[in-house]
Amino acid sequence: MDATIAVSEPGVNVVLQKAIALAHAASSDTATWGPFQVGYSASVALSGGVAVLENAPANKLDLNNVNVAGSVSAFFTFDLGLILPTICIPPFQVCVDIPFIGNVCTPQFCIPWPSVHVAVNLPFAFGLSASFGFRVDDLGTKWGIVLLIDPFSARFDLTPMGPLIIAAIQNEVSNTLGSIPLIGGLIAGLVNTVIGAFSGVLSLLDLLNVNIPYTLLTFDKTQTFVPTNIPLLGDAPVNMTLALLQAEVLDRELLAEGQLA
Amino acid sequence: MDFLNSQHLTSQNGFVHLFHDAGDFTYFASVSDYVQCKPGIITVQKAGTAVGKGMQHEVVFHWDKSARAFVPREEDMRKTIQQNDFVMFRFCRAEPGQPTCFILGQRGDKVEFDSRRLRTQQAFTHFFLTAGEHSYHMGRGIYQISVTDHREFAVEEHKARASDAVVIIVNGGDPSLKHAKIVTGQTIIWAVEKGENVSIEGEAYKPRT
Repeated sequence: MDATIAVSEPGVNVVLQKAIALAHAASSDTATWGPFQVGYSASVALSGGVAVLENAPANKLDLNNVNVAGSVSAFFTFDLGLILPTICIPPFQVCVDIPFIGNVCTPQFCIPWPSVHVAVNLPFAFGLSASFGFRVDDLGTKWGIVLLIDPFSARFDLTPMGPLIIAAIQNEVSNTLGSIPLIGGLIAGLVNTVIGAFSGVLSLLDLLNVNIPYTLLTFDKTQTFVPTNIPLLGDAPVNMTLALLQAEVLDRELLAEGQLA
Repeated sequence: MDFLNSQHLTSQNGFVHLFHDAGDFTYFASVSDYVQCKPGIITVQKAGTAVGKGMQHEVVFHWDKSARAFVPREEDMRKTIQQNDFVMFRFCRAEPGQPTCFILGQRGDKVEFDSRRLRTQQAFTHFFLTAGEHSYHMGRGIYQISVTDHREFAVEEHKARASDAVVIIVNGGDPSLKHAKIVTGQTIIWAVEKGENVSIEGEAYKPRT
């Protein structure tokens, strides 16, 4: 190899800490379907964590005790009045002028269809430890040293939050609508069926996967070498191409070794 | 079937009282003379409105199952109206197990109105749900109400008929209409032009065959 660059374990920690501080993600969406409106918002942020380099042949970066905190919230609104006609008993209200009383309007009671708004918020926080391998990627004009999560190391997944939210909403809707005489149970069943259809949407909440793999370091493919006799007259600076790059861990340092052409 | 009795109000009934005099009145709906109820207050302000030109106000009761009492809407607990305005006391939707009741109004200790004893410038309404031949007595007379099933009419025709309230003017114990012919879904108003201790009490019912 023609050139070697070493990043110490504390140096890797500095780079990773900067990356972790920026690692926050948020997502939200709403959808309306007739009398139904659903929406969710989710956010997650990382902090802390210590990186430990493991020498070859393991060639790994162990990231320990990263704090992961965030919340997933969802709401569900259902307005029966948007689909059911107004039902009044008696169906017609009539006003009659009675000279010795006034303009008397007959009694009428209209059924107020309920509007349900259910909101759930599930905060979460846990520690994350994971192992990463290294890979060198050709990024066009640069080489990149990329962290790849070890699929067998611990990871986290927000997918289980989806059914949990759905169950909480269904429970609330059943309690609210189930009390309507005669048809309450039927309506609650219908609504819960619709909510269940949104399970697929909510189960997509796996926010952090977009950040993995993560590019830890980059190197320009064209490197400029400057003669040691500058500023005196002599050889001019030379551009050389970094034709190949390899990454490995040695003596708890991340070594990037390049071949020049 | 319809339970027609102005002395025992159901959710199909309304009771109208015209407030002649200014002052503070209390009211409540009760199932018995021996049951105490939390009263609502109606304040009548002085106004130069003539009789027959006042506005209608509403007091709506619902049956509170846990308290086993009729309770007015929160906004009806204290109402302010003008002289010669009138109040329609009526009910929210019927609850299973809801008993009948009467409406009593007082000014101080003096009874101002009692729905069991209709008098001048008061009215009783009944919304008919059941087709058939109804009869009722008022004083010594017995009168008829023929109720035709709405299914015997085209929708538009039934709508036209049910949109027309029948008013029976009562003078003494004498109704202006001895035999009323209506359709289900229609309301009859018995308006007392002159009278004391008037009541409308259902006698017999024969379903249509």
